[in-house]
Amino acid sequence: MTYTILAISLAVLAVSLSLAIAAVRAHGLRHRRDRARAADAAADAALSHFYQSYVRTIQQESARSAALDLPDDEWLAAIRARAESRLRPGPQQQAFVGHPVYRPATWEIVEPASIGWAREW
Amino acid sequence: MAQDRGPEEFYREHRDSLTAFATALAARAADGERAVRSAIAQSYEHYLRHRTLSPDGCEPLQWLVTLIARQVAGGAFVRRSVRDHAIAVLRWGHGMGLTAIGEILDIPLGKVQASVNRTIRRFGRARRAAVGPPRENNSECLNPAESAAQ
Repeated sequence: MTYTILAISLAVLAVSLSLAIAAVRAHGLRHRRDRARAADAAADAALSHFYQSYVRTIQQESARSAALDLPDDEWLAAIRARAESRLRPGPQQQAFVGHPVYRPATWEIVEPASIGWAREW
Repeated sequence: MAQDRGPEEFYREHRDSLTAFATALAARAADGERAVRSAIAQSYEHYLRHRTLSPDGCEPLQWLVTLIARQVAGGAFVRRSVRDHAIAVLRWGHGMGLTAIGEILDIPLGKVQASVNRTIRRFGRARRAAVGPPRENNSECLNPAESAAQ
C-alpha cells in the first residue's frame, strides 16, 4: 500500500515536472519568436523608409540630369533605328532563309517560318 | 489612349520616369539607361509589327516597366547582389507584393522570398555593426559629456 502511494506520488511529480518544463520551454520559444517578429517588423519599417527615400532621390537626380542627356529626338532616332534593324535579317541570317536551322535554346530543328525575322521576311 | 497618339510621343512623355525607375532598380545610371533603351526598342519593334504598343491585354506602360525590370534583374545569369537590390527596391521602394515581384521578374516566389530574407538579415547585421548590441541598462544612454561631469 505504501509503495503504491509512493509510486503514484512519484508519477504525479514526474508529470508535473515535465509539464512545468514544457511550459517554460514554450514560453521561451514564444518570447524568442515575438522578439524575432518585432525585429523583422522594425527592419521592414526601416528598409521601407530607406528605399523610399532612395527612389525619391534617384527620381530627383534623374530629372536634374535629364537636360545633360541626349535630346529626345536623337534618342528616339537611335531607338527607332535599332527596332527597325531587328525586323530585317542580317547577312548571316539571310544565308539560312529557306533552310531549317537550330534554335540554340532548345536544340530542336525549327522551320524558318516560325522564327520572328524569317516570318517577316 | 497611348496607341492613338503614336509611339514616339508616348516614349518621350515617359522617358524620364522610366529612366528613374530603371536607374533605381539597377543602381547605376548607365545600366538603367541601357535597360530603358532596350525595352523601348522592343516596344517599338512590337509597334512596327502589330501597330500596337504592347501585346493584347497588357497596358503599354506596365509592359515597358516589366521589360525594364526583367532586363535589369530577370535573367538567369544576373548577379545575386544586383537581383537582391532590384527586389528590395520593388518591395520597399515601390511597395510591391512578393507575388507581383515574382511575376514581373519572371522568377519563382521562393527566390523572391529568399532574397527579401537575405536583405533583412544583411540589414540587421549592418545595423548591429553600426549601433552595437541592444543595451540593457538605460544609464548607458547618458551623454558622455554629462557622465564625465558627474
